[in-house]
Amino acid sequence: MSENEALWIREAIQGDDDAFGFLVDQYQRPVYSLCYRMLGNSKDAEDAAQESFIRAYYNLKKYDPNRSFATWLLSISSHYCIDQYRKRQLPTVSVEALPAEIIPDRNIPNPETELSQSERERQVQNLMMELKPVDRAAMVMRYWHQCSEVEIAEALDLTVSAVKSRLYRSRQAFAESWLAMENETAQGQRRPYESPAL
Amino acid sequence: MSHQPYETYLFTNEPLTGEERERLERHLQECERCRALATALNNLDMVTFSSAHLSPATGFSQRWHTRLSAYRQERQIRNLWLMTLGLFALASLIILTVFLINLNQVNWSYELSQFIASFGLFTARVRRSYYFLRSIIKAASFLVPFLLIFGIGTVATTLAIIITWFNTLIRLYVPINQRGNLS
Repeated sequence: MSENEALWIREAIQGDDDAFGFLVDQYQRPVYSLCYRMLGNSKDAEDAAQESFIRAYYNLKKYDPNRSFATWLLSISSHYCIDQYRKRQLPTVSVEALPAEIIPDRNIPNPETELSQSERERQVQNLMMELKPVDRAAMVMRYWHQCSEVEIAEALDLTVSAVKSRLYRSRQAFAESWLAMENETAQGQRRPYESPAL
Repeated sequence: MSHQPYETYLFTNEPLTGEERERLERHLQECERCRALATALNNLDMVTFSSAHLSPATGFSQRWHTRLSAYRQERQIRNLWLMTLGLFALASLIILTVFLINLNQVNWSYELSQFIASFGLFTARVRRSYYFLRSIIKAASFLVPFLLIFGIGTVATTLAIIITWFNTLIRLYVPINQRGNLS
């Protein structure tokens, strides 16, 4: 955590909204990103991200400066998203909205590669939505936010071994779903060329 | 073909030893299914490695400030209502307690007769004031305009106090941005 952030936190605890506004500016992308990965559409993600910052603001006194502020924020967001998902039983990702919101890697100049990257990202998001909310939160934090297992355990109120086991199960479920999806696609592509006699 | 321990090597997040990695690579060359699973996990790694964080729509911070203000007002109103309800509950509790304490000590027929007597006394006093006022008017008719002005003034002052009290209540309970022409 930078010195500026520590200062903003101290001032926000004393009731300075603008100081917390700087923290919102600083962390809006990771928080929104996590909410989007968890909930699957931009409207719910915006709402969840806003609510996460409100909760963070009102619970700032409980923040332990020895911990990472980003992890603390992501913890609040992931808990909120898990609650929302359970309450509403949200439908799976709105696939139409996804490609426009993906920020492509600028290191890849080839448009075809860019297209396939975007397509792959959409498939990954679809498969992520099939996971249980807590497993999904663990995967999003591990893969998109590069959190350690200890940080995930702290954020989701789990033991480190529970996180390991959830990540193992999620990776397995993800890989098998990917395989099933590829098989379905391959069969769908083959069918038009099959002989009518077969 | 047994896929253990190779699936464990694939799905675990722990780093593999050199020997384990070598065994896994040999197995992947032979086993199509495990190779496909490894490719799936590679896709996950590639997607997450190359994708940046998503951005919310522009003005997120501004919207947060607006939401915070609205949230504060809601909390303030909720707290005031809770306080009011709490005071009512406390008052009700006190009245109930006093009532229960005195329940066995009350002689209801005596209390009723006292109430009727008090009411009778009150009406007698009102009647006496009316006769007194009438006698004054008869004796000194020049006082009538002054008495009218005094009466109207008293009623107007009472109404003004009541209106001010209502206005204070409105200011206390209605958020600033919803007051419209009230303020």
